[in-house]
Amino acid sequence: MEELIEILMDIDPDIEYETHKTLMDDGILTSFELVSLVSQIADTFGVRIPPEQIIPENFNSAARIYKLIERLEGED
Amino acid sequence: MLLVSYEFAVFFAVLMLCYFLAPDAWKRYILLFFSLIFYLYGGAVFLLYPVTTAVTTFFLGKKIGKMTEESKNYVMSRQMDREQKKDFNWAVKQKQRRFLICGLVLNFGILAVLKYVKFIFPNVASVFALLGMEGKMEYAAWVLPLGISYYTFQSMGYLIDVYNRKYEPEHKFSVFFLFLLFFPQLTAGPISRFDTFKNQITSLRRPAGKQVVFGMERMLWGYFKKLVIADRLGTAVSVITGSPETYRGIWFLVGMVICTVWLFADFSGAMDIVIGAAEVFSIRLPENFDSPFSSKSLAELWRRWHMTLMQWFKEYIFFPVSASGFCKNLSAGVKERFGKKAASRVPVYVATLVVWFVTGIWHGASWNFIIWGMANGIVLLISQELSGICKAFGRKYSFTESVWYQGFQKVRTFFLFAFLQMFLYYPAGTVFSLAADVFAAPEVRSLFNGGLADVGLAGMDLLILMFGVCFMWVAGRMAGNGGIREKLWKKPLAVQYGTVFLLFLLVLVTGVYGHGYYASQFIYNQF
Repeated sequence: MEELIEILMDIDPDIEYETHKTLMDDGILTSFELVSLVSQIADTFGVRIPPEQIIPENFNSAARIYKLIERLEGED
Repeated sequence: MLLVSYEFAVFFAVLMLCYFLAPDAWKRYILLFFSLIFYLYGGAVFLLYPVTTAVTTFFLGKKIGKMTEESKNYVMSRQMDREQKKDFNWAVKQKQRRFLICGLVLNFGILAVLKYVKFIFPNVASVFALLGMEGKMEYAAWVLPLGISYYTFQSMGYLIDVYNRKYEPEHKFSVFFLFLLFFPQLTAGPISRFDTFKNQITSLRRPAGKQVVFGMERMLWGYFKKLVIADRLGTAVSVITGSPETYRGIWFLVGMVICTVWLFADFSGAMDIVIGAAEVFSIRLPENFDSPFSSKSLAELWRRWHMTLMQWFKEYIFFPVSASGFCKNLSAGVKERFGKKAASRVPVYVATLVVWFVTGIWHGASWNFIIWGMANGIVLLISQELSGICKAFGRKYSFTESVWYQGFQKVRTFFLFAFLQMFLYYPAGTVFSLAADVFAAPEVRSLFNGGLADVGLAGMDLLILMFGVCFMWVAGRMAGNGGIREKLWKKPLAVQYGTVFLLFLLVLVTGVYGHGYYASQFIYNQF
């Protein structure tokens, strides 16, 4: 989780990622940031996130992103 | 059939009568029947295109869905370990992919041939001419079937979603065919998603009085934007952009503002009519605009303008391209040479440029549109690169929180958007030369020496326009605070009828029509 928060802090250090639950809905994670985030997740965790999984349900909070990473790691 | 025509008024009135009198179980078929009449009005032969798209997509969707179902049953009936399951699912996905590609190639192929043959062939001929191979290329100048871009995008979105197992494929052809052919959205969109559309049309009921009134009010508001504002500005747009040698200096700035307001009034007016018409039958179509000129950056503006198209591009092009093998390999190469940070930018850059190339060519088959699209993409990428500096600037200086600064950001975004629009009207070199002239030789006096009158912007027309634009702006702001229609609904009946009648009267008296005049087509009609 810490590694993920570090990646997110790189995108916008002003956000409280532990508590924010509407990252995608509020436009904090825009398309640009999402693509960059997906690429950094692939680098750090070795997990490939398919395009159809880039939806608010999976990216609205750090916890949900982490859950997605864990789920995809399990599928690999 | 134009949405601004007497034929449409008669068509809509007859449809309403049949719809309200018919039992609920018939309502879907009535909408489909009238949608077919609407389509056939433009020529029976054109119906062949949406029928081809509907039939191929429907059966391919069913086939892909059946394979998903069978593979699930197979996995459940066998004792498989994780690796075996993974291999099996991968093999099924590969087979499904072939059917998906068939659908995409066929349907986007039809769109490409009909829309782009006129653009591609002359360009190929020019390349041959440069190589010294002169010759005449024969090709048919196809007439675009009504709404081809919209129904093609909707159907292909559906097929990709079924492939991605977002929802089950549809089993009733009438439901799927109505999804593609629902008459209001054929003219200018919006691009609907199948799952939300289906939920509404499978349980159609007689709409409540409030829904009908709301729908009609929204249609009337759309007619106001189209007939009072957009059509009044149409002449000025064609005169100013048609003679860049005459209309230079300050006229370029005037042209920027006029073209942008004209486009917004026309397109958002069309959306009000379309969404309002659907609302009368208790169908909610997705919104295409969300106060775009309240945006503080170009990226935000494009999230609020033509929203359904941009969402489609984001979902089906931007994310898949960014995750493609090409981007992956390119990122790996960049990572080796320039590090992790630079590599993470590669997919963003590639996907953005691809999306904006497609956005450009979707809007029109000419170099102007491609340059306009690419210019937007490049500006967005530059803005993205500067966003860190802007955020740091915002943190350091508290005045960036003030209303004035935010107002400045909105005005700046409007003018940036308007400036980029100019690439649609002039060659790139002319745009920069005209822009330079705004500062070098503005010649402001030319506006008042009968100049405005020459482009049809004087006297009463100018007054009506100024009032109309202010009215549109105020109504737009009020709509964001809970909805004008809802507030009006709570007022006494006399106030409700009085307000609607007043708006109707305004459209009737100040709209641009009359003997010998025909309302112009909506800009987004031929896509």
